[in-house]
Amino acid sequence: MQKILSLVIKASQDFIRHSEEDIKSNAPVLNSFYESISNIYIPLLEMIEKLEADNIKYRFALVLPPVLCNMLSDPILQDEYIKWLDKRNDLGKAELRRNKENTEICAIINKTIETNKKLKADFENKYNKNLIPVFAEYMTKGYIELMGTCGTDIFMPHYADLKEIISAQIECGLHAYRQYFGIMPEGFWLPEMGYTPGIEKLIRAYGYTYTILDSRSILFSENVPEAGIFYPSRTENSLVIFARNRVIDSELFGENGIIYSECYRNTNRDIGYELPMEKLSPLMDKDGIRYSTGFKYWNRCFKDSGHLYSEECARKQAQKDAEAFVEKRLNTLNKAAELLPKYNFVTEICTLDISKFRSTWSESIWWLEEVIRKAADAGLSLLSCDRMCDEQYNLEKVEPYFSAGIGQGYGENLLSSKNCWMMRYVRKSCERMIDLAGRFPMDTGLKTRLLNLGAKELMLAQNSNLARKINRSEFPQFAEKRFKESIAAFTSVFDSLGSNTVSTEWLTKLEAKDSIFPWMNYRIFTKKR
Amino acid sequence: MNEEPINRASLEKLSFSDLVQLADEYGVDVPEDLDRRFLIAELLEIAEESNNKEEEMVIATDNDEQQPPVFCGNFNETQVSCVLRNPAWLFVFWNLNSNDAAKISEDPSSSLRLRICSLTDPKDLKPEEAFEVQTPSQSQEQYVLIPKGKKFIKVELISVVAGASEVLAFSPVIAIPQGSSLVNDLQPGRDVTFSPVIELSGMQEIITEQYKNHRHSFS
Repeated sequence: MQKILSLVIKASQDFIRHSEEDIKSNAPVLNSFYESISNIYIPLLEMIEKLEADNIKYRFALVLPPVLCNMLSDPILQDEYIKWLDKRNDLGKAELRRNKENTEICAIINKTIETNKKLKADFENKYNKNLIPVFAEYMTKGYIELMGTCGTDIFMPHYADLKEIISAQIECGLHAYRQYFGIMPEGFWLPEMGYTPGIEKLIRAYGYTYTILDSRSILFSENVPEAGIFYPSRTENSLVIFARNRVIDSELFGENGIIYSECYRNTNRDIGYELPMEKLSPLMDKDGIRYSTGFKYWNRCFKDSGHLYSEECARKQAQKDAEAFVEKRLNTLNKAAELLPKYNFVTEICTLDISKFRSTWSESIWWLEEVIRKAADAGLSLLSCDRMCDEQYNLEKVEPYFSAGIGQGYGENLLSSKNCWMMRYVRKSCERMIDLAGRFPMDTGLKTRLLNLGAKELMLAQNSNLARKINRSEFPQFAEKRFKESIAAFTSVFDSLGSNTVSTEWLTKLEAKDSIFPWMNYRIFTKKR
Repeated sequence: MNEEPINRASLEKLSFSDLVQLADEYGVDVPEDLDRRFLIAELLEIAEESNNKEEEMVIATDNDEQQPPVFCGNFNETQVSCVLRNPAWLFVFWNLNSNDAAKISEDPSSSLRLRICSLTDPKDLKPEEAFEVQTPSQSQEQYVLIPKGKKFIKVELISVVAGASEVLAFSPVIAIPQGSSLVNDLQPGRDVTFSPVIELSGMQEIITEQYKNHRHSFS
């Protein structure tokens, strides 16, 4: 029997305004975006290249949301990334002078500088500043399955009664996928795995074959499928359902998760959080807030006031952790295979969140590469879910339960006392958008521009990452400002259409600032008859 | 005790060691591996407890002229809406138009209530059961625990003025997720047998987690 380890890697990205006047004020959040390029996206492409060179057989799923694709394709941000790498290295040079007495720290600084130089060279020359076509190439070669998703990360259960809103988000995501990658995806990534009964009809209506839910959705359903989470099931309308194993997330990031190994880099101990502001001036504004610089000299061991980071030691640890991880998956799948002898395969779905990788685990891509190599060595098949849907219409039927992959199982962190104030604004804007799409079905010219802008702003405000950030106190000022900017812009659109007056200067300026979804057609919000 | 006002903007500028020192001044024990983000959140919480309102003032000025009056939380429209926070809790929020708001504020004995109606069918006009919840003054939102075993819920916004009650608005009907009986019947030490595959799927871990996080809500 085939034993399949299915890895699903999910990126997320909030839209960050980056016009000339916004770049400075959004520097901390842009810093996170550039770090994702340096620490995740380019290393991920390098990993795929190495595995291809070594003829390893594998295929995993990748979710690159439309906002991320938009930002990675934006020439302004591409150039800004290069400048950012240069600024980091200017800081590195200052760090070499400051630490000239300590050869061990200087070695770490030099390594960081060299890495930045290589990233810059590869980004400019090898990838022509645009990573999207490179991902598309690996998709064509079959190493990755690119899953579709919504326009922004909307948490669908909060909009279950507003079907036009959910449909518009799915349609926008699908359109973006066609624009960037040119094909129709098979799999749909449900943002935050937020499922509520009924949305399978909307997902299926757009031609998707499968989606992935949290195991709770399957195990708490009224009729639990015979094969549990180890084999796909289907909804009444034959949307194939895979269940991710939620235990894996706590194995990695939980209280005793493997990311806390002492050898790994301490991502909190960055000079950006430790040095006086004036020493960080090449990179950050002395009156602004602090953020990471990439110069992190310490590992996670806290004995004797800390130990210096050793890449060699961290790489060995990543190998060891990958081996133990694969061993666990193999044991589980062997047991499942024994218990399910009638089935042609058993699978374990492992979802990996890139934002957690970026912020907490510097060695994540080394670990991932080792997992793929060791899983292949151990005889596990590494496949994405689209290769497991052959029996789509014969699978056991299930009525999945309301659930999510975040919060305490239901996305509670998106509706907490810190962020619940957002709900009234975004829901009111949703109602208004549906109304506007119905009232102005055939309009052209300025009204169309206004309505398209309103549609974009609403989608940006629906991004659940903003609520999550406010709840987690992760750049909460940015998240609140971003949300309010979008709601304010949407409200201005609504008022302009109501009063039949518009400032074209304002409209043009905002269209340039929120340069996302250039193909937007507000009619996707129209009530379906 | 530090005399500087504590707000997010000022804390974000401090180095980690300065934050630790400040935490020390406030008597907060800081574990060595504490994330900077959590430390800032902890200090803000202390500041809030000490009635330091600076944070809110800074947030208000952050949004300066870009923030239109829309963020007052009202749309001059009487409306009540609800969203499921999880299968046991409902988040209810409402607005009042100026006429309704005036009527209520003019009569000191008046009150605003939420009537939580359970329905057997979403098209039912009359509720199967209903109970009322007094709304908190100065607030336009409330979390409400959903009675166990209900299939559909509708919320009515009711004003009680001079002893007479009037339904001002009602929400759309919300379907309450219906899952396995396990979800609604969690008991510590309850002996439930699952097939080995379901055990291997992590059922026990999820039930334990569900009990730990939701025992007061679901059972």
